Amino acid sequence: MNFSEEEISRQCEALLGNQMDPAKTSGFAAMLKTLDQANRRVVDALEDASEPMGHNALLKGIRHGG
Amino acid sequence: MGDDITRLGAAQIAEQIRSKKISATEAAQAFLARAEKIGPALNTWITLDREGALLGAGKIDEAIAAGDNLGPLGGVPVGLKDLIDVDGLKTTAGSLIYKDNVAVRDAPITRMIRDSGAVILGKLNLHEFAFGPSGHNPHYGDQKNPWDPERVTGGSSGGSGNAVLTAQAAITIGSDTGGSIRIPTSLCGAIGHKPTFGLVTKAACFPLSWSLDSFGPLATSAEDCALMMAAIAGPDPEDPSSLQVEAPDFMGALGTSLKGVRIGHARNYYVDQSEPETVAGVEAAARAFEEAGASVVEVEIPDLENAYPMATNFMMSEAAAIHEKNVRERAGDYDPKVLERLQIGFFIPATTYIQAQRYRSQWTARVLKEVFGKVDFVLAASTPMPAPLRSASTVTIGGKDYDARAHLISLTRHINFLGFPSTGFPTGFSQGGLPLGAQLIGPPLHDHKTIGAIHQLEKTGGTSFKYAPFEG
Repeated sequence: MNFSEEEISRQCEALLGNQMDPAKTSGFAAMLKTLDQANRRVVDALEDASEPMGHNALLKGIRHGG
Repeated sequence: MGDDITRLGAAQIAEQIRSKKISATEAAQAFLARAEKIGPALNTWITLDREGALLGAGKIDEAIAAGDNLGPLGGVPVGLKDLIDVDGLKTTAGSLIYKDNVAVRDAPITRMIRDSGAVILGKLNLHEFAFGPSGHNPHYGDQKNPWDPERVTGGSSGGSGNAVLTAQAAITIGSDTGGSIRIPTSLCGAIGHKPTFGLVTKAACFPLSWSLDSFGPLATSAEDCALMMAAIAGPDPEDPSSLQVEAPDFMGALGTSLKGVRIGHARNYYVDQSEPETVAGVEAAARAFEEAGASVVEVEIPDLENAYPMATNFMMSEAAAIHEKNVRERAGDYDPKVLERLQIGFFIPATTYIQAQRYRSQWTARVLKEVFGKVDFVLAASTPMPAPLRSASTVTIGGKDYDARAHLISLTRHINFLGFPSTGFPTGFSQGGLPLGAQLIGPPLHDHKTIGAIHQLEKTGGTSFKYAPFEG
């Protein structure tokens, strides 16, 4: 998920029909890098038993008391 | 007389209408007059429905005259965030794209509110598509903070916040995907409740994130939040996320003492990035809980450094999916800042979205065990600072600069990712006269208990609501 500024500009143009403001591209790239780094850290720590629907099941399994 | 009615809480208004001290029509007229006087200066409303409100109030008065039983909110004037469908009214979502989108039926939550006897005054302004924590809106006007109109209300439910603080509606409904009820609750000084994910229907409400959106009340008291939650909580077959559990006893829980209740003060969640005044406000709330009989201990919420960006990966992906068609076809009609944030989601791979879902399961189980295995509730700030100026792009706290908008949401998004309930409440005022706020977070389906705990705190004077003096 590490995108160069050129790649971000190219993909934004494909999506919107015009290029992203070059002044904003570096901030955009930095944010994507932060999100990617978190993902990499988390993937290493995910347990095999963690499934995408696990949160849903967890909430639906809880009953309120009183 | 008009202003007197508007300074009553919802429970008092309903009681006075039931006992025929005032009529529902008088109540509606009083709040409509305030909304027409105050609303334009604060950009509170997108649609104010005078005709529909008076029609609804008239029906309540007819029911009283006929001796019919009213619902618990009988005759109470309320406002709904303009994401929620109301039959015959526009649902703009605060956007230009849906400026002429007229709903052809009530959303289920609207129906529940009507069934409880409430009178719907209209549709409240918001950050475009609820995708921003400040309440800026270039199409319908920035929602302005009633304590200082140069400052943000917080968002995205900014109209829902400033309406309550200026007595334009007795209760309002907001939505909370990353903090959009709790942020304006904190910055404006209301009491607001973000429900457990799935406890309140979101069918026929414009989504920001299917897996994070929650709809709930902003009000002048915890009791009024409980009244509204009693009306809107419970299963809805139209909402695939709806939890199949009956609503808890919200009104009964108001009477539960704080004696023996264990509250975890989560300093690691908020202290480092918060203004000293905000921290002092939460500490004062902690002492007030102790004086009311609760025990307060320190707790640590685990893995915060990963939880926030993973919640962001998750939310951005869903928001981009919801908006893909409009982004491709009508990009020029978006607020450029909202469009910028929406674009991020298009760069997040499907695998990252799935890992975020897996992480959500794992982290939630961990928080339940490591935190809520030890305490009943968690106490923390709702926002790290009081309302910033609407023109501010950065805020400086402890010598460190933060992006003003991003920082507003830094203490709330995690809780949406968990899906847990959280009740926001006032903790006093800054030296500059701006409201400060905290949140009491509970485990899933303990909504009635977080609201009940804040009610107990109100009774001891540990938190109190104050109307903003803004008169236009």
